[in-house]
Amino acid sequence: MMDSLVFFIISAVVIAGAVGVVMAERIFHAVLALALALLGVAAVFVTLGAEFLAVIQVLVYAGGVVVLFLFATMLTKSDLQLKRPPRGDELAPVSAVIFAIVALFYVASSGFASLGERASVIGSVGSVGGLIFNPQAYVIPFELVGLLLLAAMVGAIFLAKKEAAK
Amino acid sequence: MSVGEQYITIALFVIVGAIFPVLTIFVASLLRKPRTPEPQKYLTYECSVLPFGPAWVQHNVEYYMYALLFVIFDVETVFLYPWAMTYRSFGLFATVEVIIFIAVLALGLAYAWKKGALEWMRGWR
Amino acid sequence: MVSVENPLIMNIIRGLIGVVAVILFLSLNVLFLTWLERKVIARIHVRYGPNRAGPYGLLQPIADMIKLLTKEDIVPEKADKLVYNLAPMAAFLFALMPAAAVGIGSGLIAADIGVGVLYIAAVSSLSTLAILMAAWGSNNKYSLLGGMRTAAQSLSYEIPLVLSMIGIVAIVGSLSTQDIVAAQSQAWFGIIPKWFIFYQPLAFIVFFAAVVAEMGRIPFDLPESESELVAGFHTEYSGMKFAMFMFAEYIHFVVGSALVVTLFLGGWHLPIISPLVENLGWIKYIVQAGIFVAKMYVIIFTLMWVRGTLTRTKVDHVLSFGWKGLLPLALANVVITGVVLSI
Repeated sequence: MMDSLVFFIISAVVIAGAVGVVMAERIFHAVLALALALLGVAAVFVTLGAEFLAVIQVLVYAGGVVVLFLFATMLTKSDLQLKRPPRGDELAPVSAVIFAIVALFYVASSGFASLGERASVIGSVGSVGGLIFNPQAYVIPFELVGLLLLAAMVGAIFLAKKEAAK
Repeated sequence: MSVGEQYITIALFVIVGAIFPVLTIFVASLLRKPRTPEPQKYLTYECSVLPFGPAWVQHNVEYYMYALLFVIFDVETVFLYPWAMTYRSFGLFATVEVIIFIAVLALGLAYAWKKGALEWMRGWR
Repeated sequence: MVSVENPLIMNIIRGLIGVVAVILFLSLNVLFLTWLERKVIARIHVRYGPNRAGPYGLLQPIADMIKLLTKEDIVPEKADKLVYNLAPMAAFLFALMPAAAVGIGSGLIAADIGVGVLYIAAVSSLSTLAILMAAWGSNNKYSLLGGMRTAAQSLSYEIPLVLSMIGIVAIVGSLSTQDIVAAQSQAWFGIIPKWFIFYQPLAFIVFFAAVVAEMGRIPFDLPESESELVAGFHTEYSGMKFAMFMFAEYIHFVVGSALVVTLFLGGWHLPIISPLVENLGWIKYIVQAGIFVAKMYVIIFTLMWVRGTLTRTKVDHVLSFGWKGLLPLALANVVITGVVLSI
């Protein structure tokens, strides 16, 4: 009972954040709402016993990506920072709602209660390490992640330099 | 679903940490104090001159660059913690793996260094 | 009385005691620190410092508090009211949260979570968010410039900070601050303590520099380089909202110093004394907390001394020191530690 109550409170926070992202008029507010939603997701990870994932969620997403987005909003023109331009399409919010409902039913039907037990097995720092560094498991993907990050860095620097040269 | 008891304390920290400043600011607002509303008081501070132009302007790309590099290195760092916790079980193999991983990212750092992405306001001119 | 056997209610009560204890501990230290800092800096400058309110000016913090409580709260007309008002609260919240996982004695910790030091690093990185909120919400050029510089700085030093802890985590095999301190309890010949500063000297240098930068203190005090940015991100704040930022800043000071002590200086262990009080019941806890706080104040005093001695570094130097100096050093430390441990 208590667990579901906690889950519903956290979900309400996450959904409020997500709705805020879509509805906010100023981009800055939207990014802050995104931060709220991401922190809420970290709380969901905690309730599932995956504390390492939760910490990563805070460190990389709320502490890193959100700041990146905030910097990005400050790169935009000042009138764009104040008010987002009106959009004509009503399709996006409607499809988002439909997607959310479908996802919710999928999660509910697969039984999220069972997720908890699995997450506590794979969610701690030690068990993640055990998977990444086990020669039989995810060694190659791990090194590929390194290459991917390198590619992302080179690409970002290249693009930013081109942009700055303009 | 297992809510670790330690995290109940963390949750309480969040709740109390959110309420405490609201409460103190509220209490301070009760302790009123002389109030002389003057239009100039609510102007944006700009060394006592009338504010000139908007503050929300388009900023340089450098800040964004640092944030981007931060996210990439952050992800890398996060991958190193599982190694630190489990190198005992896998020994030299995991260490070699991690050294390769670090070398790949050191390459990225060297690239950023050479391209001047780590320079403040200089590398871009 | 509700059924006390209910484990949830017991946990909540225990948690609340932890929260109140941490807030009290931090408040007392912050009050004392504001006095100590002014006094120490004054001595270094060959001045007297506060000496009017109470003996040695010891009541100065109380006077300051009353002053801040009764100041008018001015919200600039052009500010984004929502973000402007949320920022001081976020600053306090994100400063308080890391303190949950820092212990001042064995068992004297609010929440001994499994991801300890990583949690501290993650939550304190959120302070950047609060600073950017204050900076943008004020709609002031100085605030915005100061805030963006601060954000760039704390991002740049976050990586070396997190990387430099990896060596210790690898040695201990745990992220919990309790385990990390417990691993430093032994001593060579009973005198020379086995602190991690001796095992990980390189990491200590990197971590210390990074933590000072995260605190935003001289020589890395770009956040409020008052000679160029008025007051940085909190230019527009007054009264209690300003006090929240100051409070948060000093909490960072306390928690950062406590973290240095926990990770590198053996926490609450001191050779000769610690083994003596091991079986003395509650006296043990008082001695442990005393040792911890004493060590913490050594670090705090060192940082004040640094503030009185060094000058502020320029923003480009600060950033390139982080990326080109500390980051390679931290990476090298991880590689060296890995090789040494695996062989």
